[in-house]
Amino acid sequence: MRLSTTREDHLIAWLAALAVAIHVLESALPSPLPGVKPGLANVITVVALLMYGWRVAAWITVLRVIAGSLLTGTFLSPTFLLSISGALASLAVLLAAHALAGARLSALGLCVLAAMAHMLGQFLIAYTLIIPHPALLKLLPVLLTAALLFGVVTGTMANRIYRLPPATPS
Amino acid sequence: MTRGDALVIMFAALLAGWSFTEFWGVQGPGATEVRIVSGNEEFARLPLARDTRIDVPGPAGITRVEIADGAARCARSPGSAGICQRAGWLRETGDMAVSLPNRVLIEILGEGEKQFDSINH
Repeated sequence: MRLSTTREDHLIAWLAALAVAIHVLESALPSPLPGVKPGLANVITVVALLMYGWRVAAWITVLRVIAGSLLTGTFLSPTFLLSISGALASLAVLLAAHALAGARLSALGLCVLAAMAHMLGQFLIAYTLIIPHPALLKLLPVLLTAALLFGVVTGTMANRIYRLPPATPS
Repeated sequence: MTRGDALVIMFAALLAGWSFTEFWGVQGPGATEVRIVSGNEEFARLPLARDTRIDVPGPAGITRVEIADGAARCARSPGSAGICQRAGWLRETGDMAVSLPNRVLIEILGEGEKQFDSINH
């Protein structure tokens, strides 16, 4: 049997594989606090959104979370629940912001928005479903600050990648 | 960086800053009242907002309770060990000072969770 694939399918597969690789590598990094992660894979999503549109970006995000969790062994676990809720919240904000603001927001602003939305979405699920204890709220300021800093870092990276001259086939 | 980026970063920083004041701030309005129990009965229930002094009579003498700056303390008590006074200023919900000889209990009431009395391992 042969599946007929489009150019877009191949593009999504390549970029999603790249995002999954970053996601898995990043999960090997030690983290000072649960929930604090650089979110480097989001660079791929944001650059894809700017270059190829929202469909490609959405596919990459969903594939990255599912394939990433299968590879790290967290599929359908609470970690997966947090990961997917953060990813969906960040994707929703990302698509809405890009549709509304267009060129007025560069990759930097988009990455900061995505990082904050990711953190808030995943915190909301953690607080309502997993640990509904007021002590968890004490973590929120640290988590939001980390999200802002990592958003600026990933945003700067995404901006630089986006502005690179297109590779010429050699 | 576009102007939109700057706006987003500013907004995010404000949100993070606000979360610090909101979730790490002093738990101000939690404690609202002080309850003074003498023997088996409630002797008085006073708001922490109003500075005042009150003398509570008991079997051993007079325990003086002082309220100032939103906190209460046992200023003087007949107990020889001074345990009641050593509890210091009580300002969080659940804080307590007790004079056993005079059978007086001073307790802070209010919203919010009570802190642990002590933790042992």
